[in-house]
Amino acid sequence: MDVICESSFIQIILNTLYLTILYVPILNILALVLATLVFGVSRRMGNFYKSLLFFPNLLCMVVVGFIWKLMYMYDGGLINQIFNLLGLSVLAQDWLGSPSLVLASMSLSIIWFATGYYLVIYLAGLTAIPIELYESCDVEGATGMQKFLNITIPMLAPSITINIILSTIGIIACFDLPFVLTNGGPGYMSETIALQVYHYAFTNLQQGRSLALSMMLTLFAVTVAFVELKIFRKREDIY
Amino acid sequence: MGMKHKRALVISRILIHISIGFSAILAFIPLWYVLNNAFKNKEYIIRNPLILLPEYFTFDNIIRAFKVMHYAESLINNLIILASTCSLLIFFGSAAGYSITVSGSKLLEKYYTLVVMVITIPFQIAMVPLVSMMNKMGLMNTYLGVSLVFSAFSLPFVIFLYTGYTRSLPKELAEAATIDGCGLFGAYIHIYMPLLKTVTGTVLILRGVFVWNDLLIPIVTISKSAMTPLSLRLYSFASVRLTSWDLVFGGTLLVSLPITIIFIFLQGMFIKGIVAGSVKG
Repeated sequence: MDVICESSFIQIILNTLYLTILYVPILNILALVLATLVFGVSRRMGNFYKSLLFFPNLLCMVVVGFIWKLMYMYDGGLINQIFNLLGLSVLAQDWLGSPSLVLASMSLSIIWFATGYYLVIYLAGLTAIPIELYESCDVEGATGMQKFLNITIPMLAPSITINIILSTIGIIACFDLPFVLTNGGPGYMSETIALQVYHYAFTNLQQGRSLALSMMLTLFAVTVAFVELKIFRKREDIY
Repeated sequence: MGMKHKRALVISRILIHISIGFSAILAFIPLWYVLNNAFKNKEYIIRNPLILLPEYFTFDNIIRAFKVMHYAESLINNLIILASTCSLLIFFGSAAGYSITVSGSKLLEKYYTLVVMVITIPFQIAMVPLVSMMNKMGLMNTYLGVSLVFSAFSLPFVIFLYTGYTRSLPKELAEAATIDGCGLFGAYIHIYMPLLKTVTGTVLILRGVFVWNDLLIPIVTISKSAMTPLSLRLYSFASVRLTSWDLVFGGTLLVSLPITIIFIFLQGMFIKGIVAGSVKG
């Protein structure tokens, strides 16, 4: 009860929701598009791109956090430096310091980290689609886009379901990267449920609250994943 | 018509290459940012963040970061935790998978369902009770304690993988082995374990990377700085030195080095491991 009454509670729930909404669709669309592109080039080039895009996923989240923290710096960070160089200094921002941008910036760095993983899963799904399906479409004279929408997407439905659920659970429970990047700041603007559980337990020493909130975290993750599973399984049946 | 079609095909090929190449460059920039700046003095980092010229080149950052972080000590901590966690996972995971499949008992079947359900539950829910329990048992700040937490958290998924594969093997295997006088344990060691080599590889890769990189579990179970693994070491090293960019870059490069070397040699295995883990999941 204490946890809910806390003034920051709504903010934390909203942050987590907002981060999930910013992350899951963009990540999955990006990974899917990149997977189709990688699938479209020769095997050797494909393997090279796959390894390159997958590599960030093996880095420690602390490493990723510090790389992006330096890139996002207002003074001397890479992103603002590039904008200044291009004469677009108006676009230079305090990426992690401004309340309206911080969650988007955070989401971008997690997307950079995670895309390769989901790309590999999509690619495995693409490889499993029988080539005859595409050939019969060529005979009928279908365009590339039609083939993508009518064969690739339906045949990939199981991979899409897995990836969406994995990425949702992943982002909701994600601790390392937000912890390194902002640790919840500025103020409570990027505090997520997963971060707050840790802060209650080890910064404020309120173990009871931490436990209560961790229950909510689990409930939240499991509910969202379950709803997604229902929705996407249904779609799989339709196809 | 044929010509036109061919030209369209060539154009789409080129477009595919351009867009994938462009994305690859974008994805590579953050990596290059670390790679080239780790070898530059601070003034050049600010002035020229993406270009490495011979006159900028220095090993100074890396050497200083190596010393200040006590890198070697931390690397050894990582190796100890990794080795003990992986042996625990492989032993208990395969034994559980084997017994769930071979015994055919209803109770173990229910247990398996429970295990599968637990996979999606985040670590945070166990964090507070776990830490107080470890305090009481004297497991805080011990390699055994960290490894046990890592294994306990990873075991459901590992059991799930092993059970999936043992089930796909023909049931007669264990029976035949017992008829030949091998015993159930003998069948496990001599027949099942060699057949499960691919799963063991998948487990080592998926869970190995997780154990190597994770921050949350070390941060709640280790407070003695001499015992911290690379992730936590880098965090405490870099978060107080954010203004010394040269040191932060040197440190991040050092911490990423081991896994990068392993990845260069075992690329194919890593990617296969991810696919195997996710398709089963």
